[in-house]
Amino acid sequence: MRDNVTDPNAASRRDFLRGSSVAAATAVLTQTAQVGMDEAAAEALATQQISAQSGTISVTLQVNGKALKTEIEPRSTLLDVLRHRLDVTGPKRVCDRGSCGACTVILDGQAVYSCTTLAISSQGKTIRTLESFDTGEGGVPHAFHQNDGLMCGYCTPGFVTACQALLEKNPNPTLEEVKKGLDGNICRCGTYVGVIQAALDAAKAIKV
Amino acid sequence: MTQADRNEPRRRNASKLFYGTEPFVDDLPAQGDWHGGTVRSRIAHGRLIRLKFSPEFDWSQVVVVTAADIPGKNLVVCHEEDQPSLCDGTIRHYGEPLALIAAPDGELLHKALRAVEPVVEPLPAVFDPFESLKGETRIFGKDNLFLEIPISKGHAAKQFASCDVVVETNHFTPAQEHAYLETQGMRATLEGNGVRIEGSMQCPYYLVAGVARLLGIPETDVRVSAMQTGGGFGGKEDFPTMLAGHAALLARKCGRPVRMIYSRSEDMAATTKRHPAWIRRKTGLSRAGQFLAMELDVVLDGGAYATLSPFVLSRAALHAVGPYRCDHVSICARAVATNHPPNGGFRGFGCPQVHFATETHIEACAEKLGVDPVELRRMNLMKPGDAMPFGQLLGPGTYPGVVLDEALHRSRFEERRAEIEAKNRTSERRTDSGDFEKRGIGLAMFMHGTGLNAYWEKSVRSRVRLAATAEGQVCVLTAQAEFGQGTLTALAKIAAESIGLADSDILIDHPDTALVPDSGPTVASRTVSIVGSLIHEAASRLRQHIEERAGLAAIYDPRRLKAAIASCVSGGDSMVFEAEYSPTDDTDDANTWAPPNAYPAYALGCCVAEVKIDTLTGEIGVVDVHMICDAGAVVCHRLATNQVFGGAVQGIGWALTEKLAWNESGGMRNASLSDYAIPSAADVPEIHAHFLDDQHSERYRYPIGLGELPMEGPGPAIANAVAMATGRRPRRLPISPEWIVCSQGPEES
Repeated sequence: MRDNVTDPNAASRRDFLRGSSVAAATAVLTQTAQVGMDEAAAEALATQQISAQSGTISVTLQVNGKALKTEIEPRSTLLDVLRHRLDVTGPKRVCDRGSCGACTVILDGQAVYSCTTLAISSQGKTIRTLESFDTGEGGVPHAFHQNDGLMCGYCTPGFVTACQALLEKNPNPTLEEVKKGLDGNICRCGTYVGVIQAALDAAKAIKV
Repeated sequence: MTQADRNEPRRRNASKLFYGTEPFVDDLPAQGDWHGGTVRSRIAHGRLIRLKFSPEFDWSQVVVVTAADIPGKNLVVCHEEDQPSLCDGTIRHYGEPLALIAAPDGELLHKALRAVEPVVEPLPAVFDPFESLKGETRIFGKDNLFLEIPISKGHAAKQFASCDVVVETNHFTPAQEHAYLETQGMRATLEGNGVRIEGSMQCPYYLVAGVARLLGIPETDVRVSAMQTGGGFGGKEDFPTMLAGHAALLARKCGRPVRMIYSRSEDMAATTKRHPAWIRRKTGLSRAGQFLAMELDVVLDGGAYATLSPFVLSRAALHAVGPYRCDHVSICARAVATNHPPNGGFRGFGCPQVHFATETHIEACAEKLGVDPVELRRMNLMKPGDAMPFGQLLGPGTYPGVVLDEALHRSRFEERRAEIEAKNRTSERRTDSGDFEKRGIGLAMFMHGTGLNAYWEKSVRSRVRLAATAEGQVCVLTAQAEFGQGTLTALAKIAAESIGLADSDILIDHPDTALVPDSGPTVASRTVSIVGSLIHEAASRLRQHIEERAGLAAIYDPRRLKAAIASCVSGGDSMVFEAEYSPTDDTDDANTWAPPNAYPAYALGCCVAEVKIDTLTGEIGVVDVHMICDAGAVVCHRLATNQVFGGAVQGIGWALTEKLAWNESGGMRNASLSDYAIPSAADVPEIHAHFLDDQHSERYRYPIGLGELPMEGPGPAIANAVAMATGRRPRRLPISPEWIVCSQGPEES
């Protein structure tokens, strides 16, 4: 759903909004999300022989190295399940429709918006949130700290996670690649200058 | 970054935020909380006949609260007593709360909300303030006028006759959505005879007053704890009073903790916005360019209830002329009721609107006279001792001309303008994408009086408290909330420096009204300026006490001071020191909205913006922004710089991309972050922040508010840059690519 972090040449959020009328953009986003849900839901339901009408199913998710089991409605998003069932509250709910990045998690190495990812389709995959990141001086959070890459802190988990995913894929990003890589995340306090510098510094620190 | 910046204390709770361990209200563990939601109106104006509850839903699973369940007064406590907490029979705007529901889980809550149907009788609605003033549809009082503020100096009407040139322009600035990333959220728990509120807010004591009045209980039975708040920008100034009341009503009815967390679309549709403003400006000038007479009309769309409109209007009226001198001025400022959801406080608080009008109007005046707009400004800028239209004299050390010169110098404005003019004239350069690009550079001055206006600052009677611990550390107790500005860090630094202790020996946390005195709301750029000065005062009392007990030497060494404080505490001294705000001069009690000494000091700014415009697609990009700020002493350069960056980014959004669309019921149609475009990393140009900080001047000994100031420059600076690039003057924001490409003629009507 969200791969511009991993492919610096892919269209960013802002390119996307610019390139299409707002109404069209919304329609496409909604459609994409639904297609993703339908396929995943169908697969999970077929294997578990469960009625699509109502009720809950049991899922096991690999979150930050732990296997966590819970009961969910099949339509639950990964964000809902992380926050409300598993008490993993790092990822934040902000826009709830894949346009701000505050809910970003790393799913099998890819940065994804957990608000538009189904929990059942995340089974069997490795889910990482910022709670699992390196808290030492070589880690991404430390670089954010050094560069004042936050104000209110609500977008911060998403930025830190997107940055982590970016650097795992591309350890030597240019300024443009950083800007593009983090363009799926928004910050209303406007702390972009610190965030961008943090990403560049983190790239250096990881190599040391 | 200077050495001083590197030595500054880090943001206090930063690591917790980076590792995701600082909880926001919706991060609190479930604890058996019920989830609260709101049944809202879908019409703009009408009578609520009744609520129809679907018989297909099992209502025994949930609790419902309507106006009839309110034990106290059905009121959202603010200035005017016009806004009910829950609909009192008349619906006055789209999204108005009609009833509340709490359910054991979120899924059931949504089913319940869908099973209620309001039965309504619609009435004609009015969305245009000028229509509203005709009074055919009654929303507020007899005339739909929340407040009118007339300010008059000299004889403007007469003076126009003797002017060589008269220029008149109309301006419009739009509503703006706060889009704080954390939506409004509140949790209420029954505690003893009363209620405990935790959540996202700017002004904890507003909630104490509001919840007590709504529940009909003493204020001492309401305890409010502000949590880390995910952005406010003014949007969490008045609105949380309503939400806390709703959560408290539900908690009382179901006997359990209730949390109410708005969804993004609900938050955008139902909460306040920046006031849209219509401003007419007329200026008479001499041939040489002196401002001789001015007439200004300011009309704000206040929405359906007064909320903070009178306060926003007051600030707009007091700043309407900007930092310019004119002996004959007539200002008429009005806040008008319409059937839009109420508009409220938003960073700048009326100033961005009037500065946009002033700074784009001046360029039109310069064009008419055929003079350089920079020179026209310089000729008319105030100096210390010059009088503002409402009578206040500009204070010592306040030199707008110095700020202007610094901006011209740092941005190389004149050189850059000449280069751009030459390039725009000689060729339409091809850009990489094969389209045509034009550039422009523009400038705007702005100013912001610190704190609430003198009348209101006096009436708040802010108090702060310092309390020493047995270890010799000092707790700073204020009601100031942390929502990104760095409140905790800045106030702790002020305390550390004023007392003489190490920063690590200062303890400060999010405010809890059970522990902190009422030091007033966290608004109006007053935190480091007003509250900071009270901390300084209380600190000097503490130092005096130590000096008396342990001698002068003890207070000049942090370690000895800490030991002396500890020994005073163990010796049984009451080591609690308070300070209360007292105005330095007599304020005119009768003049609530335009007191003659309106603000203790004015922060000044100048913004220079360079834009590039693709003349084929109309795309506008901001390529470079210089922000020169004169806000007295800067407490923490890192935090202050971030504030300037952030304000500039919000100003860029307001100027270019943030366009609110209304539905037929006057509600926000594009209530999502995919349809309402706030700037992303890719939209942010190089921003150069510079602070004037002349250590030798008295003005720079104390901080003057900075939080709102930087929001106020980019709008008009960008508009002036676009005018240079296109040859047409934008009269309204946001400036859209469609306007660049499609509009005809030199000015927008």
